[in-house]
Amino acid sequence: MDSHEEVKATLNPTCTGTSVIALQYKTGVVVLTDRVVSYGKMARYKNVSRQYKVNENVLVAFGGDHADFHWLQNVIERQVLLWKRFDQDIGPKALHGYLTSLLYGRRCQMNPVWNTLIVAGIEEEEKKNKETSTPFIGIITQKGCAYQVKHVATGLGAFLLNQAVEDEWRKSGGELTREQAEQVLRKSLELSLYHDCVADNEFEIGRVDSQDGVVLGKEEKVIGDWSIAETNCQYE
Amino acid sequence: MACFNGITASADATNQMHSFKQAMREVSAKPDWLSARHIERQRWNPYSMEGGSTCAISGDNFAIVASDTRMTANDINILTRDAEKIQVLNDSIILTTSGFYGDVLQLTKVLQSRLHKYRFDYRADMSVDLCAELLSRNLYYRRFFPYYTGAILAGIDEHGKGAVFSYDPIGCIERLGYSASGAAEPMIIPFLDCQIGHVTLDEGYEKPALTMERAISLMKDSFRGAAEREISTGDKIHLVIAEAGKPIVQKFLPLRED
Repeated sequence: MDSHEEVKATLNPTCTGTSVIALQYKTGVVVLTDRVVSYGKMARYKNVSRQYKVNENVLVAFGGDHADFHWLQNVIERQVLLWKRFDQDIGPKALHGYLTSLLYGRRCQMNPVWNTLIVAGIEEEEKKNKETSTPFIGIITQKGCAYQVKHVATGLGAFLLNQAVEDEWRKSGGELTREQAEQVLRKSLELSLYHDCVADNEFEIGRVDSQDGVVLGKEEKVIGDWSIAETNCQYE
Repeated sequence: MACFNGITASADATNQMHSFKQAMREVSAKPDWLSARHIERQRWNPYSMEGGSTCAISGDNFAIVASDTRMTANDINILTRDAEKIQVLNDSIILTTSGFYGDVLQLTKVLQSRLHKYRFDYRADMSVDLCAELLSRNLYYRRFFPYYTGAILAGIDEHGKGAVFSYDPIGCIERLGYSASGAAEPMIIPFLDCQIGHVTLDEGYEKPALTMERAISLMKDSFRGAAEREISTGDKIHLVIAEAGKPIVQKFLPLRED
């Protein structure tokens, strides 16, 4: 190992995104990311989307190194074009599997892709069948550990929000409407805003729906209630 | 004479250049400012542990396998409550794994494709003994960058008997009556030693036979016990039952969720 190791592999990420929160509702998935990319703890780039629309059925969101994700977007686009050549649209499960192998392969070379990826989407066949349409959320960590869930929060949100989102999910018996699901996400962003110093109050909610396909969200803002700040002794 | 001096001078210069380059290489590989702390910080751990436990018991004509379905990060943070840790590879082979989930996925993928190829080549399903040997070799192949998994392979062998094969991460293989791996292994093994191995029972005492019902209830007990004391084990028991001449049965039973 020589001293220039850090420029050959992402072992210290530079520009990073924080939590991603995703939640299933009856006919699709909603994904929330904030719109800031941090350099260490500085909010370096604002108004940056951390969601990438792969095609009409699949959306990928990321937490972790922004440069690595730019590279991944390129790789995903090539994979989409490869499928296009055989007249196919890549589905969320296939893309999830592909990215799992990719991230695991890079980990084995000790050159990880420093991202936690959320693949959200709906399989084309299931779109037509309105009774059983089962939305897909797949997670991949930078070490190639992959799993599927119905609701998730990654990054610092994994510690702060997972349980809050799960409680809401269970309260509704897993049958949220889209409005309810988005409300849960907005609330959980507010929670992460209070505790995660690199989370931002500007965010977007993307969704994959069995009717509308992928709809990227518009920029939204949440202010939250900061009256508690006055009672915090360390706060000037 | 001048010519001779010239050769010496140029040889000296070459030597000097050589040692200069050598010194340059050494200093760039290990510069003074590169402290142990820097080196430690640059080192990246390719492994992570997702916790959870698995267990398998074999009897005369059956083998039962169980695992919990919790997946954790750093032992305290639950990633998902329904992770798949047991893979039914074919009608007589069940693989169950714990440890680093990325390796678990890869190992399963490798085994599945090897079994698929075997079916293609020989037009028959692989037997559990063959698969056990295959798994051992696959694990040992990665001897110097191991799959960080505690694998257990169970199933019904060619003679219709239950079989459990236990592995360490680098492919040491042992056929046992019962085995456990993962976070709660140190809790489950002594319990099964006592109840199935009867290691604490003196000579001359009656030893209860291991029926399938008894094995299943022991399995449930060991997971319920483990879930009480081990934080990365919980949520659900995934129970897979293989009996000779019968299709494999899968069940999910509730466990503690805290």
